[in-house]
Amino acid sequence: MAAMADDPDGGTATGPRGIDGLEVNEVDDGLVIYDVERDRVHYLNPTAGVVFALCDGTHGEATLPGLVRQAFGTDEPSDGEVAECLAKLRAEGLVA
Amino acid sequence: MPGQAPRRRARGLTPSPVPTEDQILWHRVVVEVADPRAAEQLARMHQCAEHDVAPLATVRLTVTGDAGAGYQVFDNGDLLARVGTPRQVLDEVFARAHRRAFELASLKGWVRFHGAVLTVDGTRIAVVGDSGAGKTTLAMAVLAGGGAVETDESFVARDGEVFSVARRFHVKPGTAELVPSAPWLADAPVLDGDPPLQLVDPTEHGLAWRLPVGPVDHVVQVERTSGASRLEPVGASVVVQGLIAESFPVVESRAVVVRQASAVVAGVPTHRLANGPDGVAPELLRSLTLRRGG
Repeated sequence: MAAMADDPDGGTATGPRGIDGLEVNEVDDGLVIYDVERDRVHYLNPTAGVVFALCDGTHGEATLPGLVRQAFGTDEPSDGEVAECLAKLRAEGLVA
Repeated sequence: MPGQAPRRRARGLTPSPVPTEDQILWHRVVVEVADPRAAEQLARMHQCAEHDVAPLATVRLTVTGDAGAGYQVFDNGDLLARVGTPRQVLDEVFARAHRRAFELASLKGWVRFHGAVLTVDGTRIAVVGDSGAGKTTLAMAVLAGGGAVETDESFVARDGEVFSVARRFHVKPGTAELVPSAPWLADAPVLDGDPPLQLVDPTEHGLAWRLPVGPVDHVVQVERTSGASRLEPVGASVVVQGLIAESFPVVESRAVVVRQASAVVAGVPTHRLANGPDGVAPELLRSLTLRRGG
């Protein structure tokens, strides 16, 4: 069940969220995620790890870049990089 | 490959007067053998590693027969195999004892990984990598340099704690030339095979062999190179990939393997060691201890 996102663009968007059945393990340079259903291991770099962590259904897609930059305390990554990262997470079946 | 025999109760066993005892992980392994040729072969793998945990279970293996009539190997009284040569007896006993040890470890939630565990200047280092990457040669150099070696082959891990599997170090021909500071290598018994291996138990050479349970201070992924040896930081996820690739699950799920591989490196500096023919890799490991000291 997707949560309603805290989205400044409207407040009613459904935020991206990690799919069920993932074993998430934190390591120093990101996340190691095991997809039980597909029997696949994914290695996420720090940026992808933060994007994935923010995909809990409560954050709208438009808010993610700002939240990621806030997490790192820098001006990077760009909106486009976050969007690309999110697209990859979706393509890998980690985020719906 | 020795044939597997149907399970049958042992009768008329003639055990050796003094059975050998080894500890492998949480198992006490007791081997009774009457035939001197089989006993001599088994003695080559007998090890005296000092474990920091007491055994929880016992596997009792008994070998009857001789080279003329053939051998029977019993596991706690049940016929395990009929084999023809002392070397096959060794293979059966060794494989059975380790299988039992690994099964119990697995049931306890520990995952086995292929790698060496060394201590250099008080710093405990797990060295993971493919066969042929030079783990054993590195281990022998560390041992000759005053460090300690727990294993050159495998360890089990759970929640970041590491426990080495006791097995005599399997040293390939030519290693003595690469580690001239280890003259005791020449005295180690030889296991016939291709190639023949020297089987090193440090305690036979006046060296300590202690197997603690606890976290490591560094994890190093070692790879063979034809160039200069070098040691550099590498992302933990790279080392986790290496650990997963070099895991030996028994009954545990892949999710458990991934979890425990991740736990080994959690909060631990990770490195890649390119191990070249220049022989400086042991010194590079020593540099990790200097880094720890600031």
